[in-house]
Formats: sequence, C-alpha cells, structure tokens
Amino acid sequence: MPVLPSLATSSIGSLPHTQLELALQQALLVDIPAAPQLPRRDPAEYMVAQALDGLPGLHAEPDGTATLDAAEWTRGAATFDARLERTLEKGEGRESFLPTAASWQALRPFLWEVEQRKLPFAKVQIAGPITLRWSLRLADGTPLFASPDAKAVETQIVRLVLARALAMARKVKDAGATPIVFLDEPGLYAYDRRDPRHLVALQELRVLVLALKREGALVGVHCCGNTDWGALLGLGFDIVSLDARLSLTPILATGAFEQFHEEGGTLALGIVPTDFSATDDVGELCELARTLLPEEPLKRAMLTPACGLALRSVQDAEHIFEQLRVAQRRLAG
Amino acid sequence: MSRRERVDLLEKLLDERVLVIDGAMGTALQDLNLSAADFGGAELEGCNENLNLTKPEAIRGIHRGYLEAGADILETNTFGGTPLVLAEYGLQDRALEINREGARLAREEAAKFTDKPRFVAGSMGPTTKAISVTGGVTFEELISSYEAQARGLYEGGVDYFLIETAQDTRNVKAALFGIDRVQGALPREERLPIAVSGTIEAMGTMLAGQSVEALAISLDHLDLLYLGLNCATGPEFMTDHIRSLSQMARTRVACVPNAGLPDENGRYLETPQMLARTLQRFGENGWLNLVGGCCGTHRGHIEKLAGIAAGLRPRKPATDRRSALSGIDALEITDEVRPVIVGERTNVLGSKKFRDLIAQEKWDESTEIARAQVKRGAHVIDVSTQQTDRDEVQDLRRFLEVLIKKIRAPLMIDSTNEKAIASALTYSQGKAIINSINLEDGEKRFASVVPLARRFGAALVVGCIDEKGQAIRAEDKLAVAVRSRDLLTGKYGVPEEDLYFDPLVFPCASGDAAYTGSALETIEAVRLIKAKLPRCKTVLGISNVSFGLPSAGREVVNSVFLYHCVQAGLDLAIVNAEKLERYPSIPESERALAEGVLRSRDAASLQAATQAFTGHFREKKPQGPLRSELPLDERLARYIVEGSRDGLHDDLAAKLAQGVPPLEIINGPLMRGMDEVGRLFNDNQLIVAEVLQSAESMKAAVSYLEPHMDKAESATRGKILLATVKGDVHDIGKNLVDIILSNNGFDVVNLGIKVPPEALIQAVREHNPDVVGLSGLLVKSAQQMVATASDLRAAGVDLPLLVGGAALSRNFVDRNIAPAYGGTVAYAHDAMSGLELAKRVVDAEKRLELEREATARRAQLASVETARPAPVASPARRSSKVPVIPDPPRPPDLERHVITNTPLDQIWRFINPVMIYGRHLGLKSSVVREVEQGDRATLESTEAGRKALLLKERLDDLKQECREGAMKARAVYQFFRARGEGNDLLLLRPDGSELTRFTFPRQEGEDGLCLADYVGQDDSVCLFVTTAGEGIRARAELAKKNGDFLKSHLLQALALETAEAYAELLHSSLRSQWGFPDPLETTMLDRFKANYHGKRYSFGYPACPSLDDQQILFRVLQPKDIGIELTDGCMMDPEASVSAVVFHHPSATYFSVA
Repeated sequence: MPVLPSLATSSIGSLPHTQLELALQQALLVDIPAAPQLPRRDPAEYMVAQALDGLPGLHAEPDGTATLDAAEWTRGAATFDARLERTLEKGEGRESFLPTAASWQALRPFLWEVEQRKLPFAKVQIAGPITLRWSLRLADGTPLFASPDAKAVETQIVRLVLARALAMARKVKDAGATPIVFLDEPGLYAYDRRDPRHLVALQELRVLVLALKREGALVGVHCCGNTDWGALLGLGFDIVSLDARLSLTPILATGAFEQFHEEGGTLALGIVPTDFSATDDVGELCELARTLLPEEPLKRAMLTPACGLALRSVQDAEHIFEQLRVAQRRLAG
Repeated sequence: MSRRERVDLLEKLLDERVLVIDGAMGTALQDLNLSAADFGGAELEGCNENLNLTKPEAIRGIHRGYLEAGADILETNTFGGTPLVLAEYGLQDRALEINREGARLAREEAAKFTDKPRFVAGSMGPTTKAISVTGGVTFEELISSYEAQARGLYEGGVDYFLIETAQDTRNVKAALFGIDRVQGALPREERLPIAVSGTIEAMGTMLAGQSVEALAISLDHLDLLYLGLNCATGPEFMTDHIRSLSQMARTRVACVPNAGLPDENGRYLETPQMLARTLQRFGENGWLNLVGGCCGTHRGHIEKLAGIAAGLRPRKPATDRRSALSGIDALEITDEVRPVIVGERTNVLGSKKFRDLIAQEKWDESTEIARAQVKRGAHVIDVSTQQTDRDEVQDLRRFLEVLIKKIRAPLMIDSTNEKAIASALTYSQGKAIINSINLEDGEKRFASVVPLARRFGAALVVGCIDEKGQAIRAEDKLAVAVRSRDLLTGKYGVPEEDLYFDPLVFPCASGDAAYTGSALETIEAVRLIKAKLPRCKTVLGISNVSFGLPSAGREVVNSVFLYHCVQAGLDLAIVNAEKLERYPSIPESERALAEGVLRSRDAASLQAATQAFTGHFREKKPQGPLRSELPLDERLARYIVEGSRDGLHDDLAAKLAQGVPPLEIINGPLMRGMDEVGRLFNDNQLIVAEVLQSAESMKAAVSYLEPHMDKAESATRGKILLATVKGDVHDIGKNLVDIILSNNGFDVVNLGIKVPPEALIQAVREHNPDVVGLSGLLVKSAQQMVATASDLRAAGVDLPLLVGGAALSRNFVDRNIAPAYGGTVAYAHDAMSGLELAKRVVDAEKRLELEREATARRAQLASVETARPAPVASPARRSSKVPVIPDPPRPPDLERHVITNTPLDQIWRFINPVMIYGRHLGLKSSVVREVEQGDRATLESTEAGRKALLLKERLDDLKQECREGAMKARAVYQFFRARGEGNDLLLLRPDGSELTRFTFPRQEGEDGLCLADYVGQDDSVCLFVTTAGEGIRARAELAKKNGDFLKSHLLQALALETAEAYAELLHSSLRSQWGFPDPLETTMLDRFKANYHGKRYSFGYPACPSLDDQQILFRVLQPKDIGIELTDGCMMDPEASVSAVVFHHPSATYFSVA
C-alpha cells in the first residue's frame, strides 16, 4: 500500500460553489484533493443521482433525491445488466461507466489538474451501495425495499457502484496518481447487525473494497454519523473517515481498531466541524485527537472537514479549509 | 513612361523595397457624406463604383489624399465593378465604362505625382457570390463577369489586376480565366501582371474554407505579381497567416489589414500607430513586399505605413517547390505523412454500391461514401463516374456539386475524358490531381490533358504504360517513368513535384502466369523510381493485388503489400480507407500467410501459399468447470466461493435442521466463504465478476434464512411530521431524514416544501404525530422557522420540534427558535443526526436527558459570546522584489468600452485546446496534440483517437450552432488611473480623486508579495469582464432534457473556455493598447502559459482569494450591461464569464497568499 503523507489534508467531496473554476481552485488547496461535487450548480451532482446515473428508470429530482420508475426499470434492466456484465467480466466498455460530464461536471477538469500538477494521490468518491439502496424510493414514494424487484435493483446498484468506482479509479491512475476511492456511506448510521439485509449489504461493501484494491486504489469509507465501527473496520478498508467530534471515541472503543491500524489502516479525521453550531473548535478537536489517539495512528491520519460542504456557503467553505490547515499545523507541531 | 515600362519598374521596385498601397475607399467615401444625388439618384445610392461616373472629383480627391500620404499604389474604385454586382443597381451594362473610368481616374491622379513612381492596381472584388458557399452563379457566368471588368480596367490603363478580398478560390480561378480571356491572346509584352489578395476570416480560413496554406498551394502554378491578405481582421490576427504565407509563397507577399475590429459604434479601434507598429514587426521579420490598409484605414494610416515601409527590406520569395495538393485543406506530401491514403470507393469501376447510387442519381448518398472514406482516414478522394451507359460529365458535375460541400480533402479526378476532367476541375477550390496519363498512345494523352493540368494547377498521375503496354518488370516500369518525366518536364513544362508515378499493381494470385511474382516487381519499381526520380512521387492502387483471393483475407494481403510498398518509399496508396487493416494489428501467423502469397514467384509455390492462406481461419472452443462433494459446512462455504446457488437451499435447510440459528450460519460457514473469496481475489485467482457472483450467493443464502430469524423491531417507533418551511423549496436534507427515519421504523408524513405554518398546524391536528420536523436551506428560512415555531406555540402545539438545514446553527436554534417555541426543540445538524434525535425524542427518558442538555447549553450560551478569530494581517510593506517603474506606460483612454461584435471564431483561436479537450473532455495530452495537428490517420488507429475525432466533430457542429446565434460573446473593459498604497490598490478618477479601492492580502513572512505592489504612484490598471454565457444554461438544460448529455456538457465547456479565450484575446489587445504588443514570436502556447508582459488576476484565485472584491469591480465596470450579475456568494452569473484586474508591471507573477 502506498504510504500516505502524514497528516495530509483532504476533503469529503461536495462543495457549495456554483462556479467550476473556483470550486477546483478550492478543492486543489489540500494535500490530497478530492474531485469536487457541485450540487448547488446542478442537482444532478447530489450523491444519489450522481452515483446511480444511468440506472434504468432512475429519475433525479431537483431536490437531490432520486426515484425509480419500476416499470421503466423492468424494461431496461436486462440490457443494463448485460452492459454491467460485459464490463465487470471482460472489462469491456468500462469507461462508459465513468460519471458523465452532466452528472459530474468537475471530474474531468479535476483529473486533468491532477495530471498536470503531477499529484501523487487524488481522491474520488461515490455514494456507497448501502446508502443508495436505503435512499432510493419508488415513483409513488414507497421505499425500495417494499418493491418486489428490490433485490434485483439492489444487486444492480452494487454492480453499478462497482463499475463506476472502478472506472474512476482507472482514470485517476491514467492521470498518474494513486487513486483513493471513497465510498460515501452516511446510511451506515442506520446499520443494524441483527438485520440480515444489513449483513448482506456489509458483505457487498467488502466485495467493493476487494475489487477496488485490485485496481490499485486505496479504498476508504466515509460515514459522518456513528455506526457499528467494529463491523466497518473489519471490511478491509484502507481509510475510514469519520467526524472526529462525534465518532473518535466510539471507534477507538471497538476492539477492531488496533487490528485495523496494524493492517495499515488510516483514519481520516473530520477534524473541522462543518456545522457551526458545534461548541468545540478546531483546537479542542486537535487536543481530543492527541489525547485519544496513540502517536502512530495520529501521525498516519488524514485530516478532513467533518462532512461535505455542499449545503454551506462559499465563505464558510473557505473558512473550513483554512481551519483544516490550522489543524494540520497544530497536530504536526 | 509606357505601361510596359511602368510594369517592369513596379516589379523591380517590389524586389527593392516594401511598397505601400493605399487605404480604404469606402471609409473615405463615407466621410464625405455624399447625397443620393451624388450617386446618380436614390436608386443608385450606395453604388460606390458609379461615383466614377457621377462624382469623379470625389474619387480623384481620395486618390490624391492617399498619394499625398505617400502611397506608391492606388487601387481603382472598382471593387464591386463586375456586371454581377452592378446588376443590383441595374448598371450591369455599364460595367465596361465604370471600370474603364475608374482606372482612368486613378491613372491620371497617379500621373500628377512625379516625386516617385506611382502605380495603379485594378481592383476586382469577390462579387456578391462565393460560388462554393452561396451558389447562385455558374462558373462560366463568373468568368464572363470578371472578363467584362478586366476589359474595362485594361482599357482604362491599370498597371496590374488585383483580385482582392478573395473569399473563395473558385471565384479567383474564374477571375483568372476572365482576365485570360482579355489578354490571353495578346503578345506577352502587352499582358499585365496579376496579384491575388485573399481574406482570412476570424475563423482562420477563407469564407469557403481554405486556409492560407491551401490558397497558396492552389495558386502556386501561377506567376503572380504578389499574393497577399487583406481585410477581415486587424493585423495582429493576421500574424500566423502572414508568417505561413511568407514561408511558402514562391511570389511576393502583401499585407493589407483593416484598422482592427469595429466597436459597437462602428469605430475601428486601431490607430495609425498601432497598425504601423504591427506591420513594422512583420516587415522586420522579412515577411513582406507590400503593405497597405483596408477597411477603417485612412490617410493617417497610410502616412504612418509609408514612414515605416521606407525602413524595411523586402522579402525574398521562396524558391523551393513542394509536392502538395489541396482541396479546402492543404496536403503536403512529405515523408512524415506517407502513405497518403486515397479513398477509392467513389469510383464506379471499383464500387458497385457507388455505381448503383450514381445510376439512381442519389447524390447525397453517393457523396456520403466519400465522407465515410475521409472519416476513416482518407487524405484524398478518388472520383470516377466514367460509365459507357451514362453521361459522365453530367454525373460528375452533379456529384461534385454536392461533394465539395461535404469534404475538405483534395480530389483525384479519375477519368480518360478530357471534357470530364476540365469540368471537374472547375469544382475544386484547390490543387487536384488528375488520374491518369500515360504513353499508351504515344504522347497523345499528354498533349490533351497536360494543358488542363497547367491551366488549373493540377498534379498528374502518370501510369507506367507505354506503346508496348503495361510494364510488369521493375526495370521496365522505371524506364517508362523516366521517359515520361523527361517529356513532361522538358517538353510540357510540368514541375517534377507535380508528377505521381503509378508503377501499376496486378493480381498476385489470379493464376495468370504473367502476373505471378508481379507484386515483388511493383515493390521494387517503387524503390527504383524513388531512387531515380527523388523529386517525383509514387502512387499505387493497392486493392488490385488481392483480386481473386477469398474476400475474408483480401484486406490482410492488401495491408501486408501496402506495408512493403511503403517501406520501399510509396507516397500515395489508393485503398478502401474503411476496410484497411492496420499492419501491426495483423497476427504474425496471418502476416506470414500473406507474405507467402505475395512473394511466390512460381505457380507451384503460389498454389501452396494460396491454399494455406484460404484455409487458415479456424474456430475456438471454451470449456466448463467441475464441482466436488464436501462436508456440509465446507459445501456452504463453497457455494459462496464458487458463486453457485445450485443445491444451496437444500444444504441451508439441512443446516437449519441441525438446530443452528440462522445468524450463526451467516456468521459461520457463509462468512468463511466470503473470507476465502477475499483471499482468492487478493491472490488474483478470482476476477471481479466472480466475486460479485459470490456476493449474490451470499445474498441468496441470507434471503433464504431471513424468514427463519427473529424479526428486528418491527413495531413503529413513532410518527413524525416533516416539512420545509414557507418560502423555501430546498428539501434534500428533509428528504434524507425521511428516508433514514422510514428505514428505521418511523412512520413519516412528509408535507413537502413551502409549507406555511397554518398548513403545518392543520396537519398536526390531522395526523397526530409524535414529533414535528422543520427544514430550510435559505438564510431567510431561519427567520421563517422562528415565525413558524411561534405560530405553532400560539396554536397550542407543544410536540417536540426537530429543526435542521443549512441555514441554521445550533446557537441560532438555542437563541431564537427555542425561546419562540417554548417546548422541546432539538437541532439536527444533518440528516443522520436526525435519526438519533428522533429516537431520543420519542423515548421519554432520553427526551428528558436531551432537554437537560439543551437547557445547560442555552445557559452557557447566554453567558459566552464566541467569535471567529480575526485573521492576522501581514504588515502593509511593499515588497522589495517588485521594482518601481519610473515611467509606466499610459493607456490610450480612460473610457469604458463595451464590445459585442467580436467574431466567435476570432475568440476561439485563443481557446487552449488542452483545456477544452483535455480538461473538460478528458482526452490525454498526446491525443489532444494529434487532434490539434489534424493527424486523422493516427487518431483513427486508436480507440482514444476515434473518440477524440468524434468529440471534435461534435464540437465543430456545436460551434456552427453557436455561430448561428446560440452563443454571444461580450466584453466590457476600462483603463483606470491607479495608485498603490500599502496593500491597497486605489482606482482614481481622471482628475486624480479616489474612485474606489481594493485591499489585497499580502503573503506572510518577510518581503511578501501583494498585488498592490505592482502599481506605482501615478500608474494605470485595467479591469475587464468577458462572457459567453448568456442563454447557455438554458440550452444545456434543454439538451440534457432531450437526453443529449454530451451536447449539454460540450456547450457548457465551450462557453467556459470561450469566456477564458476572450479574456486571453482581450488581454492581448490591452497589452497592445498599453504600447507593448506581444513580440511576433509569441505563440498561443506562450499566451496560455502567461509568458507575456504583465499579468491578469481574477478574484477567488490564490493572489486575491476574496470573492467579495468582485463587488467593487462590478460597481465600477457595470458588467450588468453585458448580462452578468453577481450572486449572493459573489460568483458571476452566467458562469461562463471571466473578470480580472490587469497589471502591466513586467515583474507581475502568479503567487499565493495562502
């Protein structure tokens, strides 16, 4: 596994900008930049619509949610499956699963910048299958799991996420950087280890991790709420990203952290609060990290904002990025 | 002095010094404010040429003015003097008189100036019809029209004919033929020289599409007095074209630009100094023999030009000839492009499909074949419609009429009929190639076809055939070639570079003994001819070699044969461009089989090789896997590892029957299976698809076990009412909460967006929820939430209230919403925390705890005020790294300029291809280079290249839409007096008082840089905004709605890069206006790298990161007038806009204050 720079700054992904150039400028200010998603510029870049773009029957709503027209899905499912099959089995047409420019305007310019700047690492992210399957609704508003086709749709979601993530990883590699692919899984917050559907979903995450590692990517997961950290740490992720204020204590309380660390795992500490209601400031969170984390895991950690910034203002985003540098100086010093 | 003596003197002077031709006639006439009566009546108003008859003193006056200004050459006032143009005023019958008079007026005025020789050019404009573009006129009609004009000019006494502002080379050819009709029959000493001046539009080509290179190649066969460029753009934009012309023209070169581009009031922006400065640079580079002014220039410009011309040395014309062809595009036949592919499928003899389409007179479909050939890599298109049962000339005309609008490649006219060749050549703008001539009937065919080639400037394919028949042996082929070369260059005056020898290809495996081994002879002949006649080229019809072989293998033989011919030196290959196999992609074994056929020199070995060749295609077959019998736990794990479900349910049932709880089965054997999958995958023993199958088996197993498990909590945890508050349409956060909650046992009633308090109160009464959730994104929504909370309280609602959304902060909730509501208020900072809060709120015990936390926090909040730490300011000390400029350049004016008419094509020249193709479309740099170089053949050979070509085509189509109005480029700029004060940049009014100021951040540490350092005490800066975004978002949305995502993206990318390119273009002009134009050697790449004097900075970027400063720029520059607004976040709307502050300081550099 390539060694990440110590206390490298990065970001979660989404930014509030409506202007591509400025968003890129902002995104590239960190040590390991993440391809910026700009849902305020175009709602097609909200996480669900962006990740599932191309799924038959998918309708992205202007508010960022997505619904599935079951009849449309049924009509297109077989063809789409065949496409996925060709890509995942034979590698054919992999690039066709790269997010389209319409669903992720900044991706290609970002990759171009990565190549031109000869960056060693670049991060791309995609909503994970657990969040996606729990977020998707049918056209009439009922949750996906209530549909008779739920299992087949869920399978397709996993395969689509994999195909898309692989395509992105390949593109980052083509740009000369080591890809860091993050699965954005806020939905893990609702994970329940007693629910067999959840158990299966977690195993599917494991499959994604394996496949992406095979592609040469470092694989991370981001969950901005608390979850069953023990289960998550055992899935083979290289990086686990969390809101430091909310989740650092619980994740360290699991018995699994030590092994995660021993196997080379890195924590991405969401060290800068992204809701300004937080009473703790960056200094306090740095102290918290210093107190809770042993020296080695702390040195190896990445630093990020606690969450995506799409719903903040541009000025807030700039401030949060500044605070990230402050945190880096504090923890390195 | 006789006219002959004058002409000789003119030619001599053009070689001795740079001459000056006069300025604009139209501009000067406009300044005279002539009345309708001056033109000869209202119906003739606007017919400038008629003034030669009705107001000769006005024309004489303008001529005198230019002569006084120092012009060596006057142009006659006959630009629109062809009958074709005069017909618009009913004056076509007076063309002879008008032109004669125009020539006489100029001649007489020129004669009055005896201080130095003065000459008269007979101006022949492009007419109102560009035959290739507008149509509406036949080639013959054009010739007649030009003939009438030329006759008048000749009789009136001009010293040479000037075919100017040429936009279509077919028009030029017609004019040449028209002139030839006037003086072709005259003795040589009575003939006048001809000059041609083309017009390259902003898009970089003539109106009919030819580049300056293609134009030069098309006219290379003529002995022109000079070849030049005039009109269209200002001189700066002619730089590349004039440079190219000067590098390749074997005649003298002229540059006669407009005075820049007009602004919105029609004022041409280039002053005499600016025009002269640029032309001086051209001249100092040795590019010119003649300078002058076109639209917008006046006496002042010519005076300045006469001043600089005196100090310039004239250019020496290029002497070397090149083998080149042209259609609309130029094609130089060099070693680097070998083999040039000639598409063969538009030949009735070689393509049945084409023959049938011609027979059915399906011109559109038949020309599509040519287009497909070009798309698949053909550089030249071979055209033949020669059939015994049809009218070849008529078919050729109708076919070419459509074809020339579809392809840009040069034409190979394949016919034995001279009439057909002559007719076809009138359709080619460029330099075509005639296929073919030979010595089969002695020199008969040479004598009939070569004059056509010389007249039209076409090259020739010469077959290796003589009176004895087709030459088969290599030595015989060479002998015929040498004999033909000697005759054609010696007797017929054809340059060697225009001869393309065809050593002939015969079927190698037809069984005809005469041709056995002929492929090797042909390859050898190519080598011999190239060695003996190095200035000539070679051409072969490749496909013939495989005639008689099974069609499945023909392209393999063709490709291998072509490979060897190219190794031997072949220049042009006539092939089916769509089917050509790439040699490297042919498997080694197949190559060997083809070699066998090609290299057989006797019947026996040929038969063996042919048999081996035809029998080599074989089928392949796959094989299937096995399964094994194992203990139950291992079997269960194997199902997962193998991704199999066959027997899975039975085995799971057996395991359940053993009394093992389902969860244990999952976490036991099934999970072990998954672990093994991971291990195998890591060892590269499984592929991704197989791992996915494993996951599906796992899922199938869990689905089977699920009904046997205790259900997770299924009872509803509570009911929650969700709403986005009044006035807000954003509900992503709320919907996520909805999804998460409903997936976790809550019964959610989602009221949607813009929910007023009264609707909410009614819903509370109707649904009787346990919790109410409110969401909002907008800043104003925070206040609305306070009002809603207050209304709920007034209505007696005291349910727990869950609030969230980007507009809120916990402090705001505690300070404002909680007091307004009175009851329990919990703040969810995102969708995820919503679930946790909901769980706590519906649990009586946890709710109490929540309330206690809130109370404590609110108490603390009341006592503490927190604020973000203020950034530490660096001392405002000027950096010593930036020297003070004692005498800064002065801007030409301090006015605000709005530009709305810059041609898009001119802007697009400044688009950085790497940005649009690389950054936005994701092509690799190497592919972008190939796209830029137009290296179609290389591009066609790779998947990425084909994709690039497709993207380029889509982009070209989109550009056409933009030209037709889909995109509007506008700019506003203004120079300001300015002063630097510490970290402040002060913009001053013309009287020196402060208008406004920017405060820029300074780099931390000693001697840090700040933008204000670049401005002295009495200095200037320029502010500008460019945009190309109006209407783009709507169009992109429409394209997206229609499912054309690529178009939607391309449009947005093109708009962004157009705004950037416009900024680059404008910045370049600003440097010129400041008095330091870019040196001639400045390339676009230099500009893209900002390798120029001074820099421009945009807000939001590292040297001036604060977007708030946009507000100052917007206040002083008012870009609203060109349709740009600032958003709340100080972003420009539309997005495809660029704003900048421009500094002229030579030390200006890009830096970051971070």
